[in-house]
Amino acid sequence: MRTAFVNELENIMDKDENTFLLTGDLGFSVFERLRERWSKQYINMGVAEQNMIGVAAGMALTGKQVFVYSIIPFVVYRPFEQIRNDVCYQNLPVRLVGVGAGFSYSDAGFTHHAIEDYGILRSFPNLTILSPADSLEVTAQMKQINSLGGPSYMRLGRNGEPILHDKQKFLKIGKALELTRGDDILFVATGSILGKAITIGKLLESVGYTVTILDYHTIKPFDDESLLKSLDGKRLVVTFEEHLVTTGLYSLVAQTILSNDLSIRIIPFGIGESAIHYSGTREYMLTQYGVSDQLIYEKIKKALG
Amino acid sequence: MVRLHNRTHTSHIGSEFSSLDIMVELYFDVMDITPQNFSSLDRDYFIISKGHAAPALYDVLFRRGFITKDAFESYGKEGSQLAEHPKREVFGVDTATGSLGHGLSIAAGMAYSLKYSNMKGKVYCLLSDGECQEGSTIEAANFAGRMKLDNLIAVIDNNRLQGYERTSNIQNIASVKNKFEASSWSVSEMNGHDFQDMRSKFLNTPFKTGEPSLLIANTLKGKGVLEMEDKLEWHYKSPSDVEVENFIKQLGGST
Repeated sequence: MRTAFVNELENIMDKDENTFLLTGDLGFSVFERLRERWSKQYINMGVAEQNMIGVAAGMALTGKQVFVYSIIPFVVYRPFEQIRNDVCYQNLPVRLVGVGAGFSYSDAGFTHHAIEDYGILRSFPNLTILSPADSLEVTAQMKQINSLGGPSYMRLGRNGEPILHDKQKFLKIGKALELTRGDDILFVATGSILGKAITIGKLLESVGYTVTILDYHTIKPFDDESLLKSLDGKRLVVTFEEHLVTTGLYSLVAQTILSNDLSIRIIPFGIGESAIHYSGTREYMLTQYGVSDQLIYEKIKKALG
Repeated sequence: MVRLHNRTHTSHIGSEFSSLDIMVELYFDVMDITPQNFSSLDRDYFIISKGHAAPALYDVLFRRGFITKDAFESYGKEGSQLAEHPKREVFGVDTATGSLGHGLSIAAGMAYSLKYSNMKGKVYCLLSDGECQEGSTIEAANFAGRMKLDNLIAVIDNNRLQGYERTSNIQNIASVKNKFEASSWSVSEMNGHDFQDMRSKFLNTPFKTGEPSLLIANTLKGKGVLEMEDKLEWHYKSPSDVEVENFIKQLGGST
C-alpha cells in the first residue's frame, strides 16, 4: 500500500508544483526518490507532529495541497487537537496519511497499534476517511483525492498486503464497492481484512449459502444507501474490521440499521474493548479477538443454525 | 470594548487591553492587509495565536473597514459569527484560534508557503507569554529558525500574567528568549504601548536576513484602566454597570 501511495503522490507532484509532502521523520526506503526530485516540496518535519499539522494548515490556508505522513498514532493521536481545530474545523485540503492500520505493527506493542483511529476521527467535521483494502484501492483513491475540497485521512497498512481485486475496479470515494452479490448473508468489510471476508464468503458458498460482500473503502461519508439496499432479504449481517468494533464499522452499520427501523442480527468481527498487554504477529493478535478464518466461520455457521 | 464586555459578561478584557495597541500599530501602520487585498494570497497575514484577545481584533477590523459596526456589536449575541475566539467566517480573520500553542505553527506554514511561491508578504503572529509554555510553540520556533523564515515576525504580549499565576512563576521570559535565540531567531524588545517604538522595531524586521524575528512586547494587562492594570482577576472579570462610565473616562472615551 505504501508503494502505491508514493507512486501516485509522485504522479500528483509531477503535475502540481503546489502539492507538498510533510513527514514526521518516517519513510526510510520509501521517499528517497521523491526527496531528491522535489527538495522544496518535501520536508522532513522531524519528531514534532503537532507543529507538522499546524504547518500543513498554514500552507493550506495559503493555497497549497499538503500530504502529511507518519505512523498512525503519531499522525492522529499526538496532534489530535491540531487536526480538530486547525484542519477539520477550517475545512482545509490537508491529506493525513497514516501507516500501520490495526495490527500492522503488531510486534511493536500497544503504542504502535492503530485500533481507534477512524473511530475517533469520524467525530470530526468535514473529514473524509479512507480505509483502502489493497494497493489497487490506494491508487484509485489517490487519483481522486485532490478533488476533495476539504481534509482527508487515509489509513494504510504497511507494505506487501495481498491484492484482493482481479483488476482495478471502478472505485468512487464515498460509495461502497459490491464484490459479490448473494441472497443469504451480507458481509461488510473495511481495510485489508476484506481478504478474510472474501475467504469466508467462498467457504460459505461451498456449503450452500450465498453472500453479498460490500467493501467500505470509505468510512466517512458513510454510504448508508448501499448498506440499506443490500440488506434486503438477508438473514445475517457480518462486519469485518481491524479496529475497535465499538466506534468502528460495526457501530456505523448498527446505527444505520437501527435508525432505519430495521431489525437484523449483526455479528461484529474486530477488536474488543480491552487494551492489550501482549504482542505477536498480526494473525496472533487478531486470533486473540476471535478474528481468524476458522473462528469466524464457526461463529457464522452457528448463527445460521 | 468596555461596553461590549459589560453587556456580554465575557472574559479576557485584561488580555485584550495588553495587546490592543500592538494590533492597532500593525493594522494601521505596518501591515499590508486591507479589505481590498484580503482575498488575495499576495499580502501580509496576521495570526492571533492568543485567540482569547479576539474582541480587540474585532474592534481593529471594524475600525479598519473589514466588518461593519453592526457586526462588531453583534459580539456575544446568539447567532453571531463573532465568538470569544475568532474564526475565518469573520472577514479579516486569517485563521481560527482559541487553543494556545497552535498559531505559531500555522504562521510558520504560511511563511514557508509564501517564500516558496516567491510572494513578499510577511506573517505576523501574536503570542501570549503564557502560551510559550506549550511544547508546540517551541516546536514551531525550531521549524521557523531551521527553515530561515525571515518573513515571519512573532510578537509576545509580555503582560506577565497568565490565567491563574504570575507568568514568571511558571516560566521566565528570559528562558523563552533563550529558546528562540537558540533556534536561530533574532530577538528584540519593545514597549507594547509606545507606537513610535513599535513602529521603528517593526520597520526594522527582519532584524537579520535568514532569521525569523521575535519581538517581546512589554505590556500591562488591563492597560489604561487603573483598576484593571496588572491584575490577574481581569483575565476573567467583565466591567459592571457601575464601573463602565469610570473605565471609559479613563480610556479617554465619551460616555
